[in-house]
Amino acid sequence: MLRKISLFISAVLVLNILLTGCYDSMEIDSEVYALVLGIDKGVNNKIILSIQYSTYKSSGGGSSEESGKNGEDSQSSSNKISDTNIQTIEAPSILEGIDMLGMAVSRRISLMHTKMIVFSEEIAKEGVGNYIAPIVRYRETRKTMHVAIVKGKAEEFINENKTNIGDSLAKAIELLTTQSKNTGFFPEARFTSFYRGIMSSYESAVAIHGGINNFDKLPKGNHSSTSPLIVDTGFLPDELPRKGVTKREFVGTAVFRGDKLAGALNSNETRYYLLLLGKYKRGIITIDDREKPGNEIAVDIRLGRHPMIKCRFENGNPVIDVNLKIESEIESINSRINYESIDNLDSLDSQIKDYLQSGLNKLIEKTQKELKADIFGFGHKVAGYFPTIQEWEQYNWPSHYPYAKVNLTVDVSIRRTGLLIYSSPFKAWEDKTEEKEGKK
Amino acid sequence: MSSEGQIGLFEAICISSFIITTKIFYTSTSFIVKEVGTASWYTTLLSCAVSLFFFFLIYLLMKRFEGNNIVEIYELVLGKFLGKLISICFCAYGIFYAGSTLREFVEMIKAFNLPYTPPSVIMALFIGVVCLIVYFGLNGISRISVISFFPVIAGFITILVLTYPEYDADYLKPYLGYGINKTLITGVLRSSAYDEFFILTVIINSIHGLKNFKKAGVISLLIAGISFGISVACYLMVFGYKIGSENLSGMFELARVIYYNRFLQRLESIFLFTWVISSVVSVSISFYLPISIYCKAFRINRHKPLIFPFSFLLFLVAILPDNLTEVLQMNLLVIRQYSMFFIYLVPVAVLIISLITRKRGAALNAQKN
Amino acid sequence: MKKDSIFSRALSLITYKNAEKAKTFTIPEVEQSKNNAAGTAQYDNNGQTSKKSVHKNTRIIKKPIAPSEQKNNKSAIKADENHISNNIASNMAYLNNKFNYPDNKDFIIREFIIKGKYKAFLVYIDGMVDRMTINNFILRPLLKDENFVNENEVCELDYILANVIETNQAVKVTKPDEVIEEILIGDTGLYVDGCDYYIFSETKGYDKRNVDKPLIEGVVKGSQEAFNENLKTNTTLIRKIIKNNDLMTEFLKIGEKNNNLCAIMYVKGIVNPAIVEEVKRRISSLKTDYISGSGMLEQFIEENSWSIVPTILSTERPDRTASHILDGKVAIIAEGTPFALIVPITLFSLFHSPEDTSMRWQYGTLMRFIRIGAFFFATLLPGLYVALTNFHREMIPTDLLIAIAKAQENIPFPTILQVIFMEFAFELIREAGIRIPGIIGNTIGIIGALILGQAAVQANLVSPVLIIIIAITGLGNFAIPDFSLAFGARIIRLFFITMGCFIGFYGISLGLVVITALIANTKSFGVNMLEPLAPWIKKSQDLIIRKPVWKQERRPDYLNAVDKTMQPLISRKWTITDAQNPIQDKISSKRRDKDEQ
Repeated sequence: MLRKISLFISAVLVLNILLTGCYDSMEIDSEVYALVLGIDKGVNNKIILSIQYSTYKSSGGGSSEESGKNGEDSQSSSNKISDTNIQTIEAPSILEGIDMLGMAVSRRISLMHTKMIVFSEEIAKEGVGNYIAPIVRYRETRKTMHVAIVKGKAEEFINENKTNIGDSLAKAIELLTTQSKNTGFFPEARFTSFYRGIMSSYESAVAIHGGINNFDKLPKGNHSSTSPLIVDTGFLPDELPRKGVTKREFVGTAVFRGDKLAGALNSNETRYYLLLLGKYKRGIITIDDREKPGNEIAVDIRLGRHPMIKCRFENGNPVIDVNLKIESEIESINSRINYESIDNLDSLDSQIKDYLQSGLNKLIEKTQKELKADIFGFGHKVAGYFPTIQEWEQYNWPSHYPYAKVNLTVDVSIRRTGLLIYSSPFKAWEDKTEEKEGKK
Repeated sequence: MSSEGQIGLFEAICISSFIITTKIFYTSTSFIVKEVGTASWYTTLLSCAVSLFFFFLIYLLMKRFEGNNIVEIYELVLGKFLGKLISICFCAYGIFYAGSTLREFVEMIKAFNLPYTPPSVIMALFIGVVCLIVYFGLNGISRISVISFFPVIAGFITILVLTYPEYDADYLKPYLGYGINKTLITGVLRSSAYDEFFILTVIINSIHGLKNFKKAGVISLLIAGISFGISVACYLMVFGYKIGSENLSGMFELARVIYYNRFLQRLESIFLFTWVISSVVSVSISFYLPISIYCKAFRINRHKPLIFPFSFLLFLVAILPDNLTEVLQMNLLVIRQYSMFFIYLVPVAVLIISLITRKRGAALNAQKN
Repeated sequence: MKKDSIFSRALSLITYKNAEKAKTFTIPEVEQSKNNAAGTAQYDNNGQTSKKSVHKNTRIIKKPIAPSEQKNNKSAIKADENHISNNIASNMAYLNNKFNYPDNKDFIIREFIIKGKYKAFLVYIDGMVDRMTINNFILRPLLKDENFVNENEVCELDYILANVIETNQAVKVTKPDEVIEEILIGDTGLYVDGCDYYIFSETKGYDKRNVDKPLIEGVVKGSQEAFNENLKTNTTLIRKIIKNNDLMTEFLKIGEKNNNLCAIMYVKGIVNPAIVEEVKRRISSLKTDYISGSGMLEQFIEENSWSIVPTILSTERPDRTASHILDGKVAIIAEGTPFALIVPITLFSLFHSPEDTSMRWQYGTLMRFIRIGAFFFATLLPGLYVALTNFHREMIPTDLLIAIAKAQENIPFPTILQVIFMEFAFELIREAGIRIPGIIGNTIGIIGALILGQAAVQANLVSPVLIIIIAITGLGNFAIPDFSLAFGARIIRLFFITMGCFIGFYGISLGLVVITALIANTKSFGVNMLEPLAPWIKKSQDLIIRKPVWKQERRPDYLNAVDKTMQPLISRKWTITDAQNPIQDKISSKRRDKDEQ
């Protein structure tokens, strides 16, 4: 009997501990998941914080059956641009701001699934160091989130961050950022590498550069008689000549010196930057045909291998040798010159090479002279020449980078020519005497 | 202590490597990066080499007194009173070690996963499971460590492989860290992080004697050294020495960095399994150690009645520190940096004394017979 | 006084008492020599394995019936518990008394007179015997005088046994309790006045089921026979597969009041004799009134009643039983249930299905992986789901998270309540599916599940994601090949749901350690349940990854079988072109050397 009683008492005690528990337990739908954080400079307090989260309205589960029945209903719901809410508040810090929003939002705001943090340029220029501390330390925030610096206000950027293709905001953000891999016009900047760049003595940090396009750059009406071919056009955010659904865009790279924004690379420079970094996956470049100016040649370029970067010291100054091996595939030759033939291939090679080399050299010069930030991580190679950390830190690589000599060599080889192996000229209706050759 | 049962070589290796290696998942990695920067990956190999040297000395001691465990050797060499006293010191250290490890684990799981659960609940459950494992004795411990050995190793390797895209070997530069002196001193001191193979000297009679003792010790030290070296190197390659010294748990941060695409990411909760299981096993082993020493010192045949009181001691030690900082800068500093003076030097001193006094185990046995 | 005793009792609750150690059984190693090798069971009160030297002794197998004693006293002895009287009246009275004759209408004594002078009677139980056999082959020859040519017999019965009775099995029985036993199992006894023993003829003729298809252990490829309730049929089914003169069938009595019979089958020369001894020791030591069959017997002889996983394998398939017997295990078949019990086993053998060996090794291995995956689904999935949604929301892909949240939005219950509700509903469907008679039974399960799930989702009672989770869990549970293990998995699942609900993955991982520790320290007839893993034994050719059959050279190591090898290193002699090839001799001699070591 006593045994039973003591067992019962201990069972109750154990249950007591457990049942008063579930301390950290929280249902999924009792939280909202802020997917985007936006940080602006505050007016009366330190920051203005904007968050964007998905709502749980409509679709899914049993109600999807009902909406399936009357098509009009589902029609109208899909006409809504996105099922997200945006909240903005002025607060002393990010995390307290989140808590303060709890006074208005009916559910706990969680940062577990934050995909992207957006800073305004204003803040970035003053230094983001003050704002990123909670993201490094706080349990919920993940270091895999993307970092973007936007022209104008982060709040406005988030307001324009709508999903047009599907319903899911999370998917939209994830796929938007992976567009970097497809085009190379903006870098993939996740928080880990951003933070590493800010802290480390080897390199400088970069972030995605974004902005809102007001669709006023697209020239309207009055065509001039000729449309000149301009290659190597780099754009900054808000400069892209386009028109469409979404106003927000990611264009180019924001470059940091320490934790302060030093400047920006435009979209084309970003491609060069990614090439040099070895992170350029694929992308098509257009060059002006040297033989027949005004005609463009489009080639798909990719890295043949990771860039070889070597470093040595000459007279106490660091000299960096960079060798890029680039493979390309012809996508179009408008001049119809037969570059595919073994004799002409070298000419096209050198055209691409010159094009890339000049762009790359300009970029390197820009980072050295204008930005003074080693975004390529040349410091990693230089560091090998210093035995200890103390000596390396004393040397202070960022201050020496502008004076480093960078020798760049680019090897281009065209591997494939697309689906054609020969370009025959257009049928000449005017009787110009050009070498005319039959197809056969 | 024949009642402890017999375990094979592989089991002994598992036990010994578990108790040494589990600290990879804790603050150990960041701590060593903070101390010696980019040199940490070979500093830990240096520590391993130093430990191997001390292991060899202890092996000599064990060989001199073949057939006896370390507790008996202390008594044989130093006399009953002094020997028992030292054994009790070791026993107390074992409790301190187990408690500190437990506390470190609890602090970390609170930081990462269960911030609002009271530590006492986490600890009570943990100690409950540890007691259950220890209840089954050395055999039970050896079985559970063999079974969990493979999943834990698999989890560990998966983390390192999946973070591969983040690696940049250039973060290992400058190669000498904060200077050779610092590296050497830290390397020798950090050999304390390998001194848990000491458990083999206590259970030597259960692992089929000296030959297996030597094999198990050397192999487990090598396993620990290699896995430490690799994990620290990987960690450095991802974070660099600067932010590498900031993190609470190196391996866990590595797991948090994993990002492939929108499906293959946020995997760290899976590694929680690896982490909890290895912690339970390693605390069980380190909790069994003091009980076993106590039993041997006082010639108690059955360890089971001791589990309950010792678990209270464990709990007490675990809740003693005020905060995480105290755990890190008092308990773990003592355990991972300075415990070698105690764990290594006492047996070595005993070896020297036995050489001076010409006491030999085998000779003693021969006299008896 | 009383207070004092309560105090001391209370004190005794918290003080340590040295518990009486039960005998623990371990299988000793035996030296490998085909015949005459035997070991004695080792009992070690410390509960530890000790590798002592093996005592050799030859085991004497007792014949079920002791040789008849010479009758030396002609005077009348009164029939009682110890003696069979040589007086017919006394014997009849004794039997009538024993079987409560006038009230018990099943009990039949047929009196008759042989050759006009010897009083005799037949005794049997109505319904248990085959009337045709009694009428044609016992009664008729006895009543025909021409069968009795020689008249100078010491006792008529010996003569009758040798010359008259035409049944295939007839034995002398000299002990009263054996007499009663024989009557009870359906044999017919013949007694002739003046003798002090009976002759029992095998006349079992009660109704029994035909050999049928297996019901719960169906396979696609492989034999389609199953045991039935009749012990003899079952032993025959095994003997049909193992045509070996060393296949032993021993019968033991179980159940004091219902006098059930069980058979122990093993192959002498393969099995470690200690296992057989231990099995017999356990079974013969049972003192209980009623054992209905293998299910109850299993509970009486298993090592640890608290173990969640079964420690004895119960199968309805003769081929599976036979393959285990040839592995060096012991099969126990009890009369009355169509199952054989197999000891000792490990956890892994519960995941094996007879199909594995009849299919090629690639397919067999794949199926085993699926089954082990099924076990993990069945035990862990709902627990993981609860833990994920309540504690580790950061781990769920964002799109899925928001989808779950949307589905959950209109549901008033927390996840754990939904899980419990669905678990309960699923178990209801399962249990009801068994009870619902006949043809509806099969359909109601599917229909019930579909309708219930669909309706629950539409009524906003449960989240649709959860339905999928529970469905997969249910499927996983049914994919576990062992019925008892599937039950164990259910209990473990509840445990994990609880742990996951309270403290998430932390709780589940602690639970995993607890379950593993418990299973690892459970023994099945001296064999640890996780044997090849813990304690670590390297060699295993048929654990999870099944090697090709020709590569499985050794019997499971943990059995310490007398004959450790199943086939030589080269079992496919055709791979060697010439049988007299010197290479082969070399290899076989190497093999022999290895074995001798």
